[in-house]
Amino acid sequence: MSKGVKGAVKVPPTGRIRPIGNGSIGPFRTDAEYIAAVRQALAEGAHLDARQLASEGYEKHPGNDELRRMAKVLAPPRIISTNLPANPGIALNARWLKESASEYKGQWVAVYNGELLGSAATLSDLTQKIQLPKGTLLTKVF
Amino acid sequence: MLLLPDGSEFCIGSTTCFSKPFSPRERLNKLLIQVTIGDLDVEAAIDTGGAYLILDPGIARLINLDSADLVGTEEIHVRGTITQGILYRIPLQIPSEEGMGTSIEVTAFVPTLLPNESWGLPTVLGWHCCLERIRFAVDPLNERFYFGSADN
Repeated sequence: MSKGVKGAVKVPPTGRIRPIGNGSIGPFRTDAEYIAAVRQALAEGAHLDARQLASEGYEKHPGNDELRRMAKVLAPPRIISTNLPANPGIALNARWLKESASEYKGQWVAVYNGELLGSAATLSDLTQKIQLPKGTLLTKVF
Repeated sequence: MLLLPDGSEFCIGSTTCFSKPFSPRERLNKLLIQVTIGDLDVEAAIDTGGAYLILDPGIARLINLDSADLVGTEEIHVRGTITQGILYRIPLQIPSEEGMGTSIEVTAFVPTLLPNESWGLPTVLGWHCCLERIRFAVDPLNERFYFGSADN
């Protein structure tokens, strides 16, 4: 599973790290221990542990920039806005995909307001040969 | 739109969804919707058993990801394998065909590819750190995806 922890700090596998006393995961003391523990949790797929360790580590070491970034990046999602205007072009693109995409199997396609702008074998080829208006749908046809 | 028993709104927008395999090797249909990342609209698969927005590295190259909002290269356990890549905090929009769209700040994982290696999956919307603050409901026969903020 895990390929191990980067850096010199040795941390037990997260499977053996259980909440103690006040609910914190530990026992970790230094910022380096927290950073190593977050990395190990990510490598083991213990994503909730990674979030909690990053948050707790940053709380205890607010001056550490790496823990600050880890805590921000691993935090729960945050709603920014819920009032974006409707985009009727989505329905037109969906109709094109349903009716015409099968002719482009294995290709990347660019579709805008229900019209094919171009197709190519790779995404990079596609974006080099056409201008993409904002709202262009890029997708690979399987 | 859909309402809760007390008459308040369950969701604020709806859009088309597709049920189809998302790679030639897939034997099962997945649920896909159109989302906006940066200035690009892409198809993304819903994976409630997954973590993060797994962003196709080819798409990631086309948008400006803010280096201030990244954690360095990490090994992440993704879809059963250890994958090297970079975690970012980025805005994701779920645009609507009817009603209002939603913008949400999520955690994106961009896999690091070897030279000449290609990413064989679409962009994937996982639950942890991505969809976990979004209410949604699916009408499979009419291919509608209803969504809204869970923070209401």
